[in-house]
Amino acid sequence: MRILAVDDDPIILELLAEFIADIGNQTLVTANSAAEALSIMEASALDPFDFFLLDIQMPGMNGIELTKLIQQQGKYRDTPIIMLTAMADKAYIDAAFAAGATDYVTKPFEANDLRGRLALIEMAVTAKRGSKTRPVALQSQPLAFNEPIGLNEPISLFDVENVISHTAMENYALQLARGEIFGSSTFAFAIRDIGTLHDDLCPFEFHSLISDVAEVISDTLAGHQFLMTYSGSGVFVCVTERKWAPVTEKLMDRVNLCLSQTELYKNNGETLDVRVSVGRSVRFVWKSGRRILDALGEAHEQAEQARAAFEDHRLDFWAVSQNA
Amino acid sequence: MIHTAKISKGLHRIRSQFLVRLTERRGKLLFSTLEASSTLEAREVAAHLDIVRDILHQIAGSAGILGFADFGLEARRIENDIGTVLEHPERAIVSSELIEDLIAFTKTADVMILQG
Repeated sequence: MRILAVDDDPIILELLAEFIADIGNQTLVTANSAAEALSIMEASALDPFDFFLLDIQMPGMNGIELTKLIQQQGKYRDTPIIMLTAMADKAYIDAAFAAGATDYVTKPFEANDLRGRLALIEMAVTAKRGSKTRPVALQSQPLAFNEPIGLNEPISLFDVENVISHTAMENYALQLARGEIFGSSTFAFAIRDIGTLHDDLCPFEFHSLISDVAEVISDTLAGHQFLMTYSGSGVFVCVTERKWAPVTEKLMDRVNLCLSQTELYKNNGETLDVRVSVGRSVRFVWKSGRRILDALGEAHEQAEQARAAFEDHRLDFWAVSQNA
Repeated sequence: MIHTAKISKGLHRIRSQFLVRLTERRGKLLFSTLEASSTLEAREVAAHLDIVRDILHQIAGSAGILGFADFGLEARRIENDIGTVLEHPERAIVSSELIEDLIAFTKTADVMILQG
């Protein structure tokens, strides 16, 4: 596995080399600035890197800006990126994940912690190499859109503000558990009639639909600090900052108003009339990582239940109308 | 056990490098602290404090891994204090407490360098 580590502190680079050499079967290339990293990547075009370790705070271009540049390169779009940060500030962590980081490690780091994360990444990279489709651990969406997308598959969306991969969201939530998560909340939107839409649309159309709805939700939430992921089944799970207590019903109305004003079409020109339901907000009140992941799952479930309730109510309405 | 011994040897080597760099960083810290405290121009103060903060940031990032946990925590604390001052660079000043903290920090660095 080829790793590119970027940090302006040579001592940190030495430490990484030491710890990574101990794991074995890794090739570590180091750079002491973002500019040097970009030059190395250009020179390694034929032998690309399997993942990146980036310091957030560097003179000149910082790790967050570098992450964006790396992900703009097609071949590195879903390559795992671990951010190294001495900044426990939540704003830095949020910015790192929003920029596309998969995970982060706080400096000074523990050797065992780093090894554990590298081992997980290595498993995912190995699975990626050995599998025609991309591994679930990386939660990637097939770049070839003719490959079927499962309804329940959490696909990665690119270039939508504050939208991160499902894996990154889980890592983010787990990391927040170490810091100040008390009072933050999670809630989710679910696209109505997703089963029918999934059956009717080709993989490209389905992916475009998910991406467009994500963009509408992201635009609607703009101005608030939040991160969002697509967790499959037409559901988008959001995690918000502590200071914001969202009124989810109002948000749903705003998203649906925006969707009604957005022109969504199938490939054959037929209009798509898409709306969402929203589940109730779940507040993080624990420090346990497991329970925080459960809360993300609960938010997903709440949105599915809200969608089911809406669809049942609509069926009841038609049944009553016909009886009358 | 072989792995543990190898890591320990490697860390010992990096620890020595850290102390060699600390000599250089200590000098820069003192210089920039003196520069910051000898001007009344807020923007100049901020520029010098920015250098001090970067040095402390690097020390804080690796000291703990190399067995200097308290030293790393102190670096982080002063780094955060400077960060607060730099939130308003147009009003940046060096307080006497900050100078005392930085001088105490460099004295601790001296002891560490001497002890190897």
